[in-house]
Formats: sequence, C-alpha cells, structure tokens
Amino acid sequence: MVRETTRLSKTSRKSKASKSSLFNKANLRYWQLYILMIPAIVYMVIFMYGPMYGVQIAFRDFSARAGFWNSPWVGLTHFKRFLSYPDFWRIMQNTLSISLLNLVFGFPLPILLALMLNEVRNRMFKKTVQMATYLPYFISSVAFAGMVTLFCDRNAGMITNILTLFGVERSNLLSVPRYFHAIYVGSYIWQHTGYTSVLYIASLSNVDMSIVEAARVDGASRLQKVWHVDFQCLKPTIIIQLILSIGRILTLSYDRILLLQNDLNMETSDIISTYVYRLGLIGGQFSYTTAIGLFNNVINLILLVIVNAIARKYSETSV
Amino acid sequence: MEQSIITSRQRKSWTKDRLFSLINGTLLLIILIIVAYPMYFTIIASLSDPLETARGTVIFFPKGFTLEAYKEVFRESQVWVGYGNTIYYTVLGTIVNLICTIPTAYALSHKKLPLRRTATWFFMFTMYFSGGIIPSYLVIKNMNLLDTRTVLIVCSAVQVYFLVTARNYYDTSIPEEIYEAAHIDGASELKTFWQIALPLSAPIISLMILYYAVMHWNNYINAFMYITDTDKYPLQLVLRKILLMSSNMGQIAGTLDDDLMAAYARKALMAETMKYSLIFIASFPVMIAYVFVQKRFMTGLTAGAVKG
Amino acid sequence: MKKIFSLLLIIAMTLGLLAGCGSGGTSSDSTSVTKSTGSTEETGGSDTVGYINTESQWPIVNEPTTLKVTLLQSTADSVGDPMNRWFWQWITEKSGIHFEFNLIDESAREEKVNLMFASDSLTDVMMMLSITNDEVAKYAGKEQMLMPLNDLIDQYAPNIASWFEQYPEVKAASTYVDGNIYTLPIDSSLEYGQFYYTLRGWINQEWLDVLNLEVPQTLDEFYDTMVAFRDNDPNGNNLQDEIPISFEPGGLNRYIYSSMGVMLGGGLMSLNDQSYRPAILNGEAMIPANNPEVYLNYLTFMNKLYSEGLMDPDTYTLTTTQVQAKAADNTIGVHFSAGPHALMSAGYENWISLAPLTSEWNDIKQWPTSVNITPGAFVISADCKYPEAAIRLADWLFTPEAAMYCYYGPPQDSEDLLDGYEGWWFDGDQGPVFNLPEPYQDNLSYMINEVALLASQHPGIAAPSWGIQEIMDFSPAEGSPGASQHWRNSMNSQNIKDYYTEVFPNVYYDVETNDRLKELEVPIADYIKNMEARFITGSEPLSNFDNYMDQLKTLHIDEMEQIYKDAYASYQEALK
Repeated sequence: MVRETTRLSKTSRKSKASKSSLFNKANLRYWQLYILMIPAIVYMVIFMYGPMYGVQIAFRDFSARAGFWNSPWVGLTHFKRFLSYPDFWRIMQNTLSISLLNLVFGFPLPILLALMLNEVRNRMFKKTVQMATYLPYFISSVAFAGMVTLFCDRNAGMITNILTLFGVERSNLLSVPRYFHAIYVGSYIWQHTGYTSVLYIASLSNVDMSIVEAARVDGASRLQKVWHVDFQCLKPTIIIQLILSIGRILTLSYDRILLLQNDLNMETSDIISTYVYRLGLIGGQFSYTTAIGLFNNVINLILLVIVNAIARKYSETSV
Repeated sequence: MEQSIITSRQRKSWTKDRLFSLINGTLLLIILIIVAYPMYFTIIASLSDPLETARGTVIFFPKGFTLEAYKEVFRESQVWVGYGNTIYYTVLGTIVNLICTIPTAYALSHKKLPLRRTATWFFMFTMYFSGGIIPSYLVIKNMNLLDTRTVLIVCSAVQVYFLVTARNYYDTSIPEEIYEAAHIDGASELKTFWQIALPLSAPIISLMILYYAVMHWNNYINAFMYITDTDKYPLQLVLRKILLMSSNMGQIAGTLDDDLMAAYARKALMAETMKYSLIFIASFPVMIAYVFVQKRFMTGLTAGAVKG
Repeated sequence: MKKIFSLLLIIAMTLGLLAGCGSGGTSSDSTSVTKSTGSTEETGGSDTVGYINTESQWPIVNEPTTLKVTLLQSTADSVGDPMNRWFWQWITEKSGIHFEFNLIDESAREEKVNLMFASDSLTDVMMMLSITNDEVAKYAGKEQMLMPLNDLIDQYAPNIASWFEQYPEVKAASTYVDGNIYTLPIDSSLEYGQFYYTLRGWINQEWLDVLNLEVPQTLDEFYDTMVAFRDNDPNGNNLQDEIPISFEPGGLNRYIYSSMGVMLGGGLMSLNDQSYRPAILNGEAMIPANNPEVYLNYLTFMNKLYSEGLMDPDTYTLTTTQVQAKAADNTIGVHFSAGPHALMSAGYENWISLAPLTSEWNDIKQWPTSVNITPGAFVISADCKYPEAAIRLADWLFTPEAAMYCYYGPPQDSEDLLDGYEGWWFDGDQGPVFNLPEPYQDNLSYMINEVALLASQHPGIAAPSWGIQEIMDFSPAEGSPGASQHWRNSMNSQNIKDYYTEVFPNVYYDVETNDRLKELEVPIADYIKNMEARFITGSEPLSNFDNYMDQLKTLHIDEMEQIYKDAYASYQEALK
C-alpha cells in the first residue's frame, strides 16, 4: 500500500498538466483496455454514428435520386411545419403523459416488489411469486399486443368482464380514448415489474446482516427495518435507474403502441414516434419525419444533461 | 420482573411481525394472481373451441377442449421456418453481444481508463440520439446486408442500457486492489481481464445472456425493416403476419372476387383459431429455458452481487 | 462538464462526418452508376434491341435475359417462390426470360415500397404493388425513377396499344399530368368483371320471410325493417339477441350516402374513413364532410341506428371470428361484403342482395360504380436495362389467354401444359375441374398453390374467365357442389348493375398539388375519423355539429375540396 501511494505521488509530481499523465509510462498500459473495446467501438461507429450523417435531411428536401448530399436545402421548413401542426401539442402531451405515468407508477413498483419479496420467509412462495412476475417479460411485443387486444374485447375480453363487475360500462376498451393510457401503462407495468425487480432483489442480498441484527436489537419493527436498512442499500441503484429513466421520457418507442393503435383511440394513442412512423415509413415523407426525430433527440439530450447534473449535485452517484 | 418485560415486548413484536408477514403475504398473493391469470387464460383459451372463446364463456377451464389450434400451428410451415430462424438469430446474436459487451463493460469500469468519461459518453450518447430510420437503412444497404441473415445478428450488437448495467457490476464487485495485485505480479491488462476478471464474471455473463437472448427472441422491428424474404422471417414476424391477417379481413372483403375471398376467409378463421396457441408457442420456450436456468442464474446473481 | 460536452460533440460530429463522407460518397456513387437491378453481365443491353424477338409472340427474347421482378405476396398465399407454380415456369420457358423474384409480403407493403423508393433500389419490374397516384407523382413525376412507357407501348405492345385505343378512359387513368404513362392498370371494367368487385349489402331472407317483410327500398323502410329485426325475434329463440346490422359497416355508409345521391369513391374502407374522400353529388365533385346538409343527415341517421341498438356495438372492432360466430348463431340481419360466403361455409341461399335505397332527399336509385381501373399494377424502373422485354411481358398479360392462364391455368389438352400438371376440364355439372393430386382436397387450393397466381394477381384484364364462353354461360345444376360457388353470378348483377353511376375518377396531380394535398389530408382525415366515430357512437352530441364544421374550415377543407373540383374538371375536359 505504501509503495502504491509513493508511486502515485511521484506521478503527480512529475506531471505538469493533467493530460500528460494520460501518456505517462505508468498509465500507458491502460490503453490496452481499448483493445477490449474494439468490437463495441466498431459497431458503434458503423451502426450508430454512421447513420447520424443522415440527420441532415431534416434540413433538406430529401430526394431519393439526389441522395443525401444533393437534395435541396430547405433550412427550418420542416421544423416550422411540425410546430404549426394542429395536433402538435396533442402528440407531445400523449408522449409525456404515457412516459410520466410509466415513471410514477412503474418505477416504484419493482422496488416495492423486491422489498416485499425479500421479507418472505417461505422459500417456495417466494420463488413462485418471483418466477410468475418474471415470466411476462418473455412475451414478445407482438404476442403481447395480441393478448391485450383479446382481453379488451367488448364481449369476450377478460379485463372487460372484470371491469363490468365494478360497474364500468361495457365497451371495447381499446376504442375508448380515455382508457388508452391506463391500458398501455398498466399492461407495460404488468409485463416489466418482475423483470426490473430482479436488479433490486439481487442488490438486497448484499445487505449487511450485522446491521439487520443491530436494528432488531434496537427494537425496530419490520417496516422500519425495511425502510432504514433495505431501502438505503438500494438507494444508489435506484438513483442511477431513475436518471436513466427520466432521460428517456421522450423516447417512447412506436413498436408496442402501433400494435394497439386504431382509429378510435388515435387521439390519445398517437405519440411522436407513431406519428413519425405513419408519415415517414408509410407516407414516405422522410425529411419531415427526420426533422421531428431530430427535434425529439435534442430535447432528450437536454433532459439527460439536466438530470445528470442535478443528480451529481445531490448524491455521489451519476452516470 | 425484567424477564416478563422482555417477554411482553417480544410478544408485541412477534404479533407485529406476524401481522406484517400476513399483509405482505396477502399482497404478494394478489400480485401473483394478477400476474399469473392472463397467462393461464391464454393457455386455456388456446385449448378451447375458438367460437366459445369469442363468446366469452372461457374463464377457469377450457371449454370445448380441442387441440385443433395447436395442430393448425404445426401444420403451418411458416411457423417452423420462423422458429428455426429465431433460434439461429438468438444463439449467434447473443454470442456477438457477449463479445461486444462484456470486455467493454470491464474496460469502462476501470477507474484508471484514460478518457474514461469521454468513452462512457461515446456510448451513452447513442441512447438519446440516432440518425433515423432511413439513414440506418441506407447504411445496412450500402454494406449489402439487406435481406441477409447476418444483419439480424449484428445490427444490435451493443445495447447501451445493458452495457451500463454490466459496467456497474464490474464497478462494484471487483475491487481495484485485485487489479493492482495482478499488475504487481506482472500481468498485462489483457491478461488480467482474461485470467482474473472473466472467471469472476459468471453472474453478469448469465444476466447478459438472459437480457440479450430475450431481446433477440422477441424482436420484430429489425427483421421487418431489413428482411424481405419470408424464408428468413423470425417467429415474431410470422406471428405478426398471421395476427394481422384476420383483422384485415374486413378491408379486403369487398375488393376481391369471391374465390379469393373464400380463401382469405378460411385462412382468417384458421388465424383466429391459432391466435392463442401461437402466442403461447412464441413465448413458451423462452419461459421454459428461464425456469431451468433460473436457479443457477439467481444464485450467481446474488453471490456476485450487483450492488448499487 | 462543458469541456467534456464540447469535446464529445466534436468527436460525434467528426465521426459522423467521416462516416458520412464514406457512405455519402458511396450513395452518390450509386445514384450516378446504374445499379445492378438484376440485369447482370448477360449479353444484350438496351442499345442493341436486337435481343427482342419482333417476329412472333414467343419467345420474347433471342438472347438470355434476366429480369428482376417484385411481386406482392398475399397473406393468404404461402407458396413462396413463384417458380413453384406452373404459371411462371411456363412463362420462363416460352419467353426465354430468366426471372429473379423479390416478394414483398402484403402486411409490409407500405413500408417496404417506400424504403425501396427512398433507397433507390427498385427492381426492373414491380408488379401488383398498387403504386398509388401519390407515389407516381412523387417518385415518377418528381424523381424520374419510373420509366415512361408511351414509346415502348407504341413499338412493342400491340395488345396494350389497341386496348388503350378501344377504351380511352383506361388510357386516361394511366396517364400522368406530364403526359407520360408510368403505370399499367388492372382493368376490370368488362361486364363480367364488374360482378366480382362490388361490395353490397346482404339481408337475411329467412328473417324477412318469418316477419313477412319485403326487401326495403327506401331509407325509411330500411330503418323500419331493422327495428322489426330487433324487436320481433325473427330467429325465434325468444331472446332479443338479434343484431340487425353487423359486419363491415363500411358498406352501410355507401347505402346511406347513395340514398342521398352522394356517390362515394372507390374501394372498401372502414366505417368512418370515407367522408373526407372525394365523391360526386349531382355531377359535381365534392367532399361529403364539407356539405353540412348532407353530412348532418348522414350523421344523424347513423347515430340513430347506433343509439337504438340497430347497429352492432362492436362495429369498430369486429374480428372475423366474432362475426362468424354471430352468423352461426343466426343473430345477424344485414351484413356487407362481396358475398355471404365470406361469413359462412353454408347457408348462403338465406341471403339476398340489398338494392340501392332512395330517401326523402333523393328518389333516384343510384350506386357507385366500382372503380374499374386500378392503375399502378405494373411499373418499370427507369434503370431497367431491358424495358422492351418487360413491356412485351406486360403486353401478353393484356390478352384473354393470359387472363385464363392467370386464373385457371391451361385446359387439359393444351400443349402449354408442363410435366406434372394436368390442366382443367369442363364438367357439365360442376364447372371447371382439376385432377387433384395429393394432398389437395379442392380445386381452389390446387389452383392457388400449384397452377397460377392468386386470381387478380396480374395486371391486364382482370376477368378470370373472360373469353371462355362456356364458363360465362355455365350455371351448375341445383345441388351440385359447384352450385354454391356460382349462385351469385346472377345475384351479383341483380339489384345493382342497373344503377351504376359515375364516381370520382382516378386522377393524377402534379407534384406541388400532390404535396399540398398530402399535407392537408392527414390532419383532416385524422380529425374526421375521430369525430365521426364520436358522433355516431354518441360520445359527442350532435349539437356540436356546427363547431365540427367550423373546425374543419380552419383545417382548410375548402382548399382540399377545390383541388378535387379542379381535378375533376380537367378530367372531364380531357375526355371530350
């Protein structure tokens, strides 16, 4: 240990600017690590950064023959068009609403589930619940959409039948606009809670048993123990997950919603990415939809930076 | 005197304890039912007469028990082709994923990695910013990867979200001291990775396999965009095709001659019959695999400890 | 933080630019070089047209030629490679052309076709993809990605040329505003063809008989009949479970609109998907939703039907199985389709076709003609090296022989049969029959899987049995297996044929107008689809109708209507 410290201080004494320590003999070996990253870097450059040059068609009037570089430049036309689109606010609202609902209800539940499961003494029961909650994750989006559609059916739908018992008017749930957010978020949570909770369950296994014992001796109730010990242990993980989630609020992907969208619920189910899909891939308006995508991305980036900065300020963990 | 005080206090905490367990257990039981019933329902519906299911009479047990739906699925050759393709893509794809993700996660977790922040942002940036559908399509096209099996294996080689999870694992479960010790013993960084870190990586590797394999199994968008030849269709795309067919029936009814329409009607009815059984077959193997793998994966996870 | 961020941005942009330069270069390269659209190193190019056989119909080419063809694979068709069927095997042999197929599944057609255009990767020929007028305007008019066919037709396609001469409206429907013909159509305007493509209403004859009612002829009679269906228990089970109007109510609004004199445009669309499309009223082009009187009457009537339980409450989300279940339970009074066999496998005789209705606003029975000419069935890429061969192929498809081969294949003694195929013969009782090899159980499966493309899967004349008098005259004996298939031949024309009235034609717009139209259409269509459903189902009270109309004005619906009016006017000019 002493040798360690000496070496380090020697290094810092020798270097003038912090940058030169990067290439310092002692640190050269760390560049080897980049060799490990080669496959990933290659992939990123080709498949992720490569297409980014295509973003420029947001400022052009894309023509297939002219290609990216020769299509005429139109500046901010597409952006203006999007912002003046009569339904612009509705789409933004839908996207935000679904994401926030997901966050507010979907974020705490896995944590709760993990904490609850952790308290179960009966191994059989614990395992069964864990397995059951995890299984829905394996259902693909196509199969899942099929299930939801069947369950929301007016006459034969399982969910419809149950709701009718509670006095809700019988109807096809997917054709009522005001139900859509609840259905989508509810089904999403149903599918992902178990899967997300695994992360927390695993973390909980790291709880220092001596602290638990101490708490018990101090007369803490089960509830108090869960709050003061278990939850605290999870805090760092929770914060990182929260950062990642908030940063992705506007990145709601279209593939799941598209499968559940229909003419009747369109006013609440149309989000940025489904609008882009409809007009872009089906309507062929590539420049316009790329502009919307770019707009979306920029907002995401800003969000991420803000959230990360806040997190850094208030805790030691950040991305 | 003291003895009795302790006992009564203990008694109080026992009852509180029991109450807690009772409530906890009940809530979990309710959750169990909410989660399990839809899946159970799918199974019994797949074994029921489709007309009965359409009428809504199937609740706890299959009605009009029939294996016709499954027979129909197995008769449909597209399903077999789709299955084969999906297994192929999943296995090879996951291998590629591991090669790209694990070493990178390890490297990124090193506090001494030069330009560590930049490198991390290099990856994270792509979670929020992308070129768009058309440019991505063109990149694939220009590499002549359109309509090949290869594209589905490589086009999602790195999922940054998983990468970050893996990095956290290395961050928190392998102390820096081990690296230092290895270095003192004369090992290069690569050697350290190979001989020390990798053997300790069993839990995270299993987790990555799980995440990526499921991703491949359930994905349909990539195949939808890049694959045209139906022989290369993965199972999910076949599923989508079949599920879509029956709901399209109305739209085509008026525009075709009736022989074609009769053919459609028959196919649509078969598709309806197959819906539940298809959903089951598309998801079942992965679930079974998970059940078997779960034990070793969970112990691995808890042992390795994905700390916060 | 700032430093890192700007560093990051610089890196990202540099990488992006570098990659961009790389692939950007490639992509601009590939646009200037004529890409391999399948026309490979084979001898013969478009300069030396000697490769074409101009002496006789077959073979088409004198030297080995390859054409890459994109076809639509219907979802009901799981055969895969077209070379597995007699039809393409025979054509390959006769024409001397080697075909490479690119199949696009029907469920992915929109996305795939757009991607093909956007990435400039068209194949030589694209068949049966229903290239829309919008796509022609954008990709042919503006981008010049499709080859103009005018000269090719004049030089190499005598059948098409004479067909166009005989039927100038077919030519007009295929000609873009710049005078070029970019697509070839499916022409189903022949007498026989019209029977097949008409959607109409079918009313439960059994119930009418039980209740002693006649087939309704006016809108009011229709309403009364539906009420009777609902209340008087025609299926005799003492339950009020009858659903007077079900399946594909998109057909219902045709009746209501036509009873008011509004001829809706072509094709079947869902219930609330038609009021924003161009229609004809009293010889004038209009948008139904922009005519407050007509539209309010329509909405009021539909709302009445819905709120009084005369219309299936699941109207917007019905699936086929549900309808079949209801039909099997005998709970449906009226449905809309091209024929009852879409719903049931037996018992079609119980249904009778509903004639067009009249109403207090219009007393002439009229019915929108089916859209007879569907353009966009055959296009040739501007990069195609062998357009002459392609047009010769298309030319053959415009012959009666092709129509028969596309549907039935060759008759049994024809020399066009290949090994392993038997051909069909004509049985006096059953009509066309095949020698069914294992594992086929019925003619239809054999036909579809082995012999020919699915019917209507070819451009040209879409009457399957056109020119085969025997088949046209054939009506099977009562009770024979063929009887159920052919009963509707006479039914089809009954009640509808005499009332055909002109509809808004298939028109092309120039690039700017087309773009503007697309821009206007999306918000208007979305809004109308949504609001109409709400008005009909009652979630929106009819008293808000005026607000609805005002809102539509702010969405520029007048401008959209004017575009249609102008187009219709020029169309009529051109016909003179």
